[in-house]
Amino acid sequence: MERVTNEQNFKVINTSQLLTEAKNFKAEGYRLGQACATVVGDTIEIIYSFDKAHVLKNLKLVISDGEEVESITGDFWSAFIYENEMHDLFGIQFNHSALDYQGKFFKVAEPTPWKPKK
Amino acid sequence: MAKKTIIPFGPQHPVLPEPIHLDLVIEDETVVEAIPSIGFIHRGLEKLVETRDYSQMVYVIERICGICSFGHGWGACSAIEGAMNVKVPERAEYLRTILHELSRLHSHLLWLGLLADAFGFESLFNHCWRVRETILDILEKTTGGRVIFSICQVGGMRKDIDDETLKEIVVTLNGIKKDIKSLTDVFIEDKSVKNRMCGVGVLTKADAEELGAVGPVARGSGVPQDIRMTNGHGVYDKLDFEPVIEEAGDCYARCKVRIGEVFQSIELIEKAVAQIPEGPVSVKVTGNVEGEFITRLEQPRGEAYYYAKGAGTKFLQRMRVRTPTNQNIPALVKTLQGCDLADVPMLVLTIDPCISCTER
Amino acid sequence: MATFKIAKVLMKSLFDKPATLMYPVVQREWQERTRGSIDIEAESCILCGICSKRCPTKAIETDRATGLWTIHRMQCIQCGECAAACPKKCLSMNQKYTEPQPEKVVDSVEVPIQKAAGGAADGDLTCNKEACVFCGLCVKACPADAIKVDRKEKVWEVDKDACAKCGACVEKCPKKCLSMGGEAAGGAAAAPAADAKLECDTDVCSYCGFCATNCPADALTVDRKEKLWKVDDDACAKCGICVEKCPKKCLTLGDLGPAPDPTEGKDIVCDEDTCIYCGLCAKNCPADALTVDRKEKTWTIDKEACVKCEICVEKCPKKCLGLAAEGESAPAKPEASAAPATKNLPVVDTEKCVYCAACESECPCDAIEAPMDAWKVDDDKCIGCGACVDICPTEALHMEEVK
Repeated sequence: MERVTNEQNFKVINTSQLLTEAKNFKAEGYRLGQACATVVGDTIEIIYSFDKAHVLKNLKLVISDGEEVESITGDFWSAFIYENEMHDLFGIQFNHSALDYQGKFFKVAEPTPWKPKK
Repeated sequence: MAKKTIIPFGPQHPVLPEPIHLDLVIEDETVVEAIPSIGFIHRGLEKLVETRDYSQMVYVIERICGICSFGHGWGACSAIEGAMNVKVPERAEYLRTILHELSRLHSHLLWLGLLADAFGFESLFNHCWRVRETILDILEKTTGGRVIFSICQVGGMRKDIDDETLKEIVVTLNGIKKDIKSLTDVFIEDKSVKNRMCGVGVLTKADAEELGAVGPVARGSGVPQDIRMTNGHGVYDKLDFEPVIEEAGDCYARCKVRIGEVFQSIELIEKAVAQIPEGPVSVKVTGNVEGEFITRLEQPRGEAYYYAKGAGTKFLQRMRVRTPTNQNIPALVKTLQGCDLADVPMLVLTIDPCISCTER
Repeated sequence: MATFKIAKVLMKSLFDKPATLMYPVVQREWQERTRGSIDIEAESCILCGICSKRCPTKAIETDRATGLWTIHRMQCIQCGECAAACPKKCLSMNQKYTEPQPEKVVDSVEVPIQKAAGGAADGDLTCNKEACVFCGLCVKACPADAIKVDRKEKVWEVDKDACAKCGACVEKCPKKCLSMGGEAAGGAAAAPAADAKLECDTDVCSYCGFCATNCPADALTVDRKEKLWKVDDDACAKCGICVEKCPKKCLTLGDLGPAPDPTEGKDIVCDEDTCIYCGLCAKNCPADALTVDRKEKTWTIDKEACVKCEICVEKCPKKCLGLAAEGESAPAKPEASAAPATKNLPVVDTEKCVYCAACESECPCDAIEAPMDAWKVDDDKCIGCGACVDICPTEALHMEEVK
């Protein structure tokens, strides 16, 4: 099997481009690696990682607090795990999700504990 | 017409290995659909970045899971070192690889024991864990702990392991190889075991790629995916090996993959010890983390992501661990469709779940 | 297909001894590196609080006011950060874990309160910039990496949050320009001019290399065999440490000459009643000024060559050497220092050893026993002099450093 070296890459996109990028990756045969959110000041950065034959590509999506994001579960069903986690911890709303737990995925003591505080 | 019943399975159940909750929709003993639910042991460990500086955070990340502990420590250090642009000395990379392979050995032996327990073969279970004790003794001798090692630090390793001890490790491992072989022969060849495992829980290659399964679950279905084939972590590029891949996609194939990896790990450790160079085992690291870095490791359960982001203060902004079980749960749900109720605990076990990793 | 494949394993385990220990009747043998719990040596503790800052679980508390060092045993995760960070190395990792108890175990140790070197314990660290030569020794000494020094820009600053007020820098400063609260004492003399050049009087110089070992900037190269002394003028911080340390007083730095020699008129003397003529002093002498003959029981010193560096005094296992003026006896032996962290012990290659017992008769401390196939050395008696290594006819012995 061939060895692969990966460089760090984070392609910055905005919310309207997310679905197109996801569909492009799906068409090329990539699989979803992970999705994670970080609070940076007042905004939230979401990183999506896609992998194919050990080549790693990342997308970075910057949204403001309260903005809604389209769910990519239509193309990558396994994304429901990450989207529900981000919803429960950060309070990000994902629309048209194939499997939505309505905030009951993680059992946390206080709702959305990592949401940026005002 | 078959009647549908919903059985809630877990999180506490005598035959269930991990605290996962499954709502099983069954028709007359056959599972039609399964809806997973997790979140019972969410500890919020990643939120501790706000109050622990980056070198203390390594200890927190190590304690996410007891079985994959070394991998988490290595991954956290690796992500922070990448963000700070620190080059770790070569001897430290070799030691990390050797310890990671030892960790893989003990994890797979633990899993083999649990698998035997899942279909009721208690004596095989205990023998597997008896052999595993030798590995844990080795780990305690070199790192100081059986389960949590605390030996990785940002910049290298906290302690060195001298060459004599490394040679002793190889001798010990070769000594127990025969023991392991007689146990794994039972898994592979025994008729009663094969009856329970062959043809059960089939995950086709197309499904595995679509759902993004990782680790032995993917390799058991013929998907050639092993992060040890990427460059940039450990010294796997210097050790010549090929990942173990099986085509059948059922429980038996996944079991064979893990058994193959056990013997492969022993070989890898031997090769690494033969090649390890002299030198320091750590470099001094000062300053704060600025920027972000994402790195991947091949844990015993599959591919794990480690993402570190810092903004120039001694506290990181984000330390994210994405563990393989997280990605394997959709694959689990797929394999459960159409299986017998009695096979459910075994299928849950063949993806090697580690729910404490998934929920952190 | 095979059935009952487990038979082989079962048969073997029927006749093997059990894999488990009869605990608690049979106690477990701990490995050397096992991390069990933390021990403290209260006499060396200075209550600087670095351990409590580094602890990831906040298990340690230090209170300067009451002199207490407290550890919450059940919070401790036995990571060893405190032991690694302690500037006085008074914390160590023990192998035995804390026994479970019905209430959470909290251990408090009373530490004799000492004043941090250099002044009021609650003042801030300050530097007298007039006297400071920006050599950077304080940076190296700081266990919390709290000081920044730039020699070219002549910048000295301390990070007040990181500073644990342990006083390690104040002790190390060669110019005594640091102090904890209150005014710094200032250097003994004004700093030498920026263009002062370090020079060595090679007629007097004995090439002992003391200046090179003490140089904080690694700017000196000394070779005793080649009789070579060289300074890298760019690296030289002009701190004057070498001038002070030079035993032969052969160095000068601009106006800065050597301080008066406190060893003037004194020589190294040996108390021949205690001396065992092991020859360790002669082996370690950088100037080859000592001759020791074990058989004849003689100890002689070449006073011209001796540089009074006192390395022999330090290395002597019987503490029979000292610096004394003509007619005086050697000063009182120093209190037994703590056992050295590392010791040199002989190790035998059993392939080469012919059990002639020459090492046994040569050993000045009777530490070796060499009966057939059972060579052994008594660790406590051995002083690491190496006489056995020298006498062995088959070169079967060599010295190894052990902790």
